[in-house]
Amino acid sequence: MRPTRRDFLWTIGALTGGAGLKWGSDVVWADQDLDEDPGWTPGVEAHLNSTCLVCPSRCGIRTRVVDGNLVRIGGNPLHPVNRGGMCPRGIAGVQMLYHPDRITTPLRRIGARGAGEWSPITVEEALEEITNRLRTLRDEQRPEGAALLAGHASGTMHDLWTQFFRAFGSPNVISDDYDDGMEAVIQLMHGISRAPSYDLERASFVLSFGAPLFESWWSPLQASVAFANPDEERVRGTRFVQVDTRFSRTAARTQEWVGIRPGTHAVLALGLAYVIIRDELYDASFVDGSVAGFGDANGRREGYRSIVMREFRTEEVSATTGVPVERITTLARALAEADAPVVVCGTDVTHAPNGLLAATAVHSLNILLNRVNRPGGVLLRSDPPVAPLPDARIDAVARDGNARGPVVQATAPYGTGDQALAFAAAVADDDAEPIDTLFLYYANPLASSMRPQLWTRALGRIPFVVSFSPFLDETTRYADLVLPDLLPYERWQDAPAPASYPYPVWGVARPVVTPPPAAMNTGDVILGAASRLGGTVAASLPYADMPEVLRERARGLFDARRGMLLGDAFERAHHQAMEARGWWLPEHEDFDGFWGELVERGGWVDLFYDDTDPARLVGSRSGRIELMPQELVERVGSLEASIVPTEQEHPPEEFPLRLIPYRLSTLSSGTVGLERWLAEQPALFPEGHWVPWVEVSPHDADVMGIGNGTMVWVTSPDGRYQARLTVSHGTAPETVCAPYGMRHPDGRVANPFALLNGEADSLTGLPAWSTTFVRLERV
Amino acid sequence: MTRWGMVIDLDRCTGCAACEVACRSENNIATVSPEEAELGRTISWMKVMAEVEGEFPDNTLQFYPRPCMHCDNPPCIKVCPVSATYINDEGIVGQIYPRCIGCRYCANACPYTVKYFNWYPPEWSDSEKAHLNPDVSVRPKGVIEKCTFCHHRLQKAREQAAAEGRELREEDYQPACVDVCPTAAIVFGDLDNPVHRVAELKESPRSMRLMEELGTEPKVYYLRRGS
Amino acid sequence: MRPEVREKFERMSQDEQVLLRPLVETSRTYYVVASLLGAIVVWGLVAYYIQVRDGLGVTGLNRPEYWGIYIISFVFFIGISHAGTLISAILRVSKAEWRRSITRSAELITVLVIGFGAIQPVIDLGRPDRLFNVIFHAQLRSPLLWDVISIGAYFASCTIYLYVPLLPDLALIRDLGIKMPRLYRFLAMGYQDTPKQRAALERVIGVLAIAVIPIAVSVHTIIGWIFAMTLRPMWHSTIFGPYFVMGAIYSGIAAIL
Ligand SMILES: Nc1nc2c(c(=O)[nH]1)N[C@H]1C(S)=C(S)[C@@H](COP(=O)(O)OP(=O)(O)OC[C@H]3O[C@@H](n4cnc5c(=O)[nH]c(N)nc54)[C@H](O)[C@@H]3O)O[C@H]1N2
Ligand SMILES: Nc1nc2c(c(=O)[nH]1)N[C@H]1C(S)=C(S)[C@@H](COP(=O)(O)OP(=O)(O)OC[C@H]3O[C@@H](n4cnc5c(=O)[nH]c(N)nc54)[C@H](O)[C@@H]3O)O[C@H]1N2
Ligand code: SF4
Ligand code: SF4
Ligand code: SF4
Ligand code: SF4
Ligand code: SF4
Ligand SMILES: [Mo]
Repeated sequence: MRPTRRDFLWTIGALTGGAGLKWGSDVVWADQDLDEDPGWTPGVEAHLNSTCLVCPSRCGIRTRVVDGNLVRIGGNPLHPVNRGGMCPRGIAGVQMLYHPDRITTPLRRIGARGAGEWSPITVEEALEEITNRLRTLRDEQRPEGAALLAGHASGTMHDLWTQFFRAFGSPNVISDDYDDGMEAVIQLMHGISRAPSYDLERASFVLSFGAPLFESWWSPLQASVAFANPDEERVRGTRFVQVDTRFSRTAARTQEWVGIRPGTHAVLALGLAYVIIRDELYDASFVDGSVAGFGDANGRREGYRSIVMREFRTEEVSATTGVPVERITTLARALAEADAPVVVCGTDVTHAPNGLLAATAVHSLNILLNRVNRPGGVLLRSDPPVAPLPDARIDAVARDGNARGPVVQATAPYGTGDQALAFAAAVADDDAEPIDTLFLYYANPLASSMRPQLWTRALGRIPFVVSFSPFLDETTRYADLVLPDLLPYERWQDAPAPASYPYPVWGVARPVVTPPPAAMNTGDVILGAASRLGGTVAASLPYADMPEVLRERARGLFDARRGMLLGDAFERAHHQAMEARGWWLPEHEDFDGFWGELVERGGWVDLFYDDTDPARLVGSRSGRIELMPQELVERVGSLEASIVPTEQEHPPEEFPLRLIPYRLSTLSSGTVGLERWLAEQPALFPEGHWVPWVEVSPHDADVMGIGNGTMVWVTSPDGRYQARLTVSHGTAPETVCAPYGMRHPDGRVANPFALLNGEADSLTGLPAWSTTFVRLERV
Repeated sequence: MTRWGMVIDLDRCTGCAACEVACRSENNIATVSPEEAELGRTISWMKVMAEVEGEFPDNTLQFYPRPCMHCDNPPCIKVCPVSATYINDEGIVGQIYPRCIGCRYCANACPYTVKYFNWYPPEWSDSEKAHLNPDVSVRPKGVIEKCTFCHHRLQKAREQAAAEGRELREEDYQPACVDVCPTAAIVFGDLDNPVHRVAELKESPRSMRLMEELGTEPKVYYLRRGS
Repeated sequence: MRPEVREKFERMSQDEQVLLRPLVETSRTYYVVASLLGAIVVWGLVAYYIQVRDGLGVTGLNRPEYWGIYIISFVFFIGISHAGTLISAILRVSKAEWRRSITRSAELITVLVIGFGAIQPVIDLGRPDRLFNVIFHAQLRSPLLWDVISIGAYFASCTIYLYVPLLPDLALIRDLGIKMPRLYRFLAMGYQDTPKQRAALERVIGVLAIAVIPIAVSVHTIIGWIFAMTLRPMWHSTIFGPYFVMGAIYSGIAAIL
């Protein structure tokens, strides 16, 4: 029978309807695991104080835990550094904890190195394997074959590692941590071995030489709290001025931004000194009484005043720095006339070829104005008085191992520089295979080193690489054994406030959620390895676990008869007033009560600073602050000549743009998969999403003929990477601003660090971050 | 009458975006894929807008943190055909996700562009589901969402105060963005309650509201940059 | 064609044969065109399925102007829908006699196109499964609700306005008995073309023609109102009501031509 029209229509109708029914039932409106409607059964809820371990700021956090899950990280209002405030990275910690890429069990490599084939093992097996290896090294009388590369290890973790390696007998402890080079400045000028603290909260005028105060400084939260100035009587009384090459977020939001040519910060500082001296605005009696090197020393040595008055006249300074003449004069006067000014020196000054000298020039302003050891100025405070670890017990094997010296020797007189890079160079080139076992703690050199290829070679020569990273980052993928650390919200650790904070704070991080059973706090790994090794190593670290270590250290705080447990504004004021009058009342009868409440509140602080103690101003035998440290002058001949940048600063022919890398306040170095909330929008200005970018001025974009949004190669003589071009009105002509810490959505690192030319300050060894030139080409 | 509102001090805001991320964490806001983000389909109930002017080196920049204004005369609720967005008697403009038909009319009606649409179902990896806030529902695809002044916190604070047999205090109910702001740039409270700080701050000579001329009567005030 | 039908068919006049042939005979062209159009419909259904399955994101719609192609089509089709009813009604009311030849097609366009238009906002919904919330949770201040009401009324009145003048023709088919006699008997509603019936029919058509005009105007002004209620620059304006009505008249005429 011929199909009729009716059949035709029926068939089509039936087919469509059938498909509709079939597919319609596939449509999912919401995640089936997640209830669409509110009103889930209420869970068991706890609010626990702890400390954020994501950056050096070590802010106090208050976590909200529901049914054993960490659902929110907020600020701990009792913590004096952040007072309840947070930064985006700290809040996004919940996404670090529950990151899909997290490793929760120890892994042993089974395939070729870097092939990514693993077999899961137990913590016991992993510890056994590590200790067997170490035991063999000691049996072979070469304990120095073990090495540690530690990225971020402060407080007790630092102490445990050093103690372990000393007792074990290896001097090869390499640290690659935040170093702003200021400790050397204080050592040279004040004769005190201590990094400066800045009393921003009591200052009335903060002049920052390139310290990204709100972004990646020691403590962006300390700076933000001071900016808002919770001190009710002086609301918005503090003036912040930012000297910066880049229109950074800090520059944009401080009351005044002084845009300056790269590398000329010190010239501006001495230009300000010129006005201050000329107008006699410095503290003459202080300078006469406590400072050396200001005036000329009977024809033998030209003094600071003469040099400044001769070489740093305002017009010349203006010509070098690009800052207009009136601006220099007004700024100098405003600084000198403020009742509590302070000058902060940032890494942009110290991470430069003449960094140390430039930093002494910047800090000299604090000295001229008598701002060291004064309220609202630069303070040189003590550390929290925690009980020290017992003295390391050194046996013969360890003594010999330590005596053979580290693989890398510091070559710079006032700093260690990029030790990790020097270590890689030494290991890569040495035929003797000096290193047998390398521990990687908080370090991912294959992604973060300036010369990743060098690290590849070095790692190829190290037979046994152990990583403690909780993520399979580039270097961990290359390891032989992975013993993943617990994440910050799962482990015990102490968290002293950074040097920039003017009072000693000892925060505690404690587990707020149950850790995965097969992972282990690296602190406990150290203790476990020590006890398995036995003998002097075990005797040097006589603790069962991390809580015990921290508890024992806290006894020092209990016995110090000063300070207080973290408390609210009222308790802080009360304590401060009492201690200023020399009183101190114990809050706790017994140590157990003290420890319990310390953990409960999140830490300990001593809010009293004795600014009458002369030992906090000068430590040298002469009793005088050296305005132009004699040692330095002898080394470099003439300070002024070394401070003014030489004319070689012209860009090479094929690389016309200066690379200015900077850190986004939302991102870490970017060496592991990012938290999604942060990766989606790492910055507000210029706004970017997921894909790494570089910024150029509209003028340069025109000249190159590359439009906004184009993917480009950023190329220097030492490397290249891809990024998206962003035309930004805040970028100086002839520069490329390149944020650190980003990855492409497919996982490739976009690392401006690997483009750097390797230049360094010969006095401190610190790498120069902004002396590299690049070119941009369309991909 | 209680009228919840906010005062944001532009002098204090440093554009750190902690408020944005805190809001995402508190309110279970998912991310979108890189391609979607490129199209501008990200969701951020609190959005800090950056306004740059001038050329290097004479730039100025202003950050405007922008939640929902919780207008007293909200154009968004008038147009919703199904009352899926409403204003309650304390002035909070809320959303009823299970009722919304996804017509996006309210989103067009809002002059402040604070409403966000779920173009795709929000995605969480299995591990990330652990950090979702159980007090806030997770939105399905196809509905509109926006800042709610964290009113789930108000409910909890009320219950807590009632359980303790006392009045609700200013500090009992503070949204997530306010909690974390390191410069205390955002102040929240009852605009009609003279002891709440917002009541005083909104009378400041620096005080202003966005697009006041439209007659929407926003309850979010800004303090202009003064220095 | 069944033989008994063919027999009846043969007895008709030439005119009637031409007019009624498509009712009883299917040509090749029909299958080709129907398959082609059917394929397009299936394509649309698949696309819509994908949209419902994956989310509205697949459409490329975006913020801050959340509406796009669907709402544009909506306005467009509703405009076109004027083709018919409004125009034929106006012409009928103004007694323009030359209209007769185009009335039927104009009215048909209206009914179909208003359906095309009305479905657009439904396709545009993020949650079409909740469509009936518009009834369960009606919010009387929303122009969108009034739009649903007025479009519903317009659709109903246009259908009636199409149907009523159709009665004599339905009766004719019934009488010829060439196709589905029971259905046509029902549709013709006992119309016998008596003079009395014919007069009543004319009267009803006249009343309908007048009633349909304000409904049509309301549909178009409500669309204007929808846009005006958003506080968007360029949208928030009183111009849209008259603008859409005028636009609709023009586009309606264009559609007929
Ligand atoms: N791309 C890029 N490269 C850089 C920099 C940059 O900003 N970007 N900065 C340069 C500078 S200044 C420095 S100091 C170095 C720093 O570089 P690194 O010392 O390599 O430090 P991070 O890059 O922070 O990487 C730390 C690693 O620690 C691991 N980790 C994360 N959390 C934990 C934890 O809780 N426990 C343990 N045990 N491990 C954890 C992660 O896997 C991560 O890969 O990099 C330099 N190179
Ligand atoms: N969010 C976040 N914070 C961090 C880290 C992180 O990864 N993420 N890492 C921590 C670590 S390990 C480190 S080492 C520190 C580093 O943090 P910072 O010491 O703050 O270093 P950057 O952010 O790289 O700062 C470089 C700044 O120098 C400016 N600059 C560029 N060129 C020049 C120049 O020629 N001269 C001068 N004077 N300035 C210039 C740029 O504008 C930029 O703002 O940050 C720590 N804090
Ligand atoms: S500033 Fe650093 S320590 Fe503080 S919350 Fe942010 S990441 Fe954590
Ligand atoms: S958290 Fe505060 S300072 Fe940071 S962007 Fe938001 S309002 Fe501004
Ligand atoms: S800001 Fe927009 S969404 Fe919020 S109440 Fe006003 S109109 Fe509605
Ligand atoms: S999108 Fe939802 S809330 Fe907005 S108007 Fe439509 S139904 Fe109402
Ligand atoms: S009030 Fe609550 S919902 Fe609104 S922006 Fe702030 S955190 Fe987000
Ligand atoms: Mo660093």
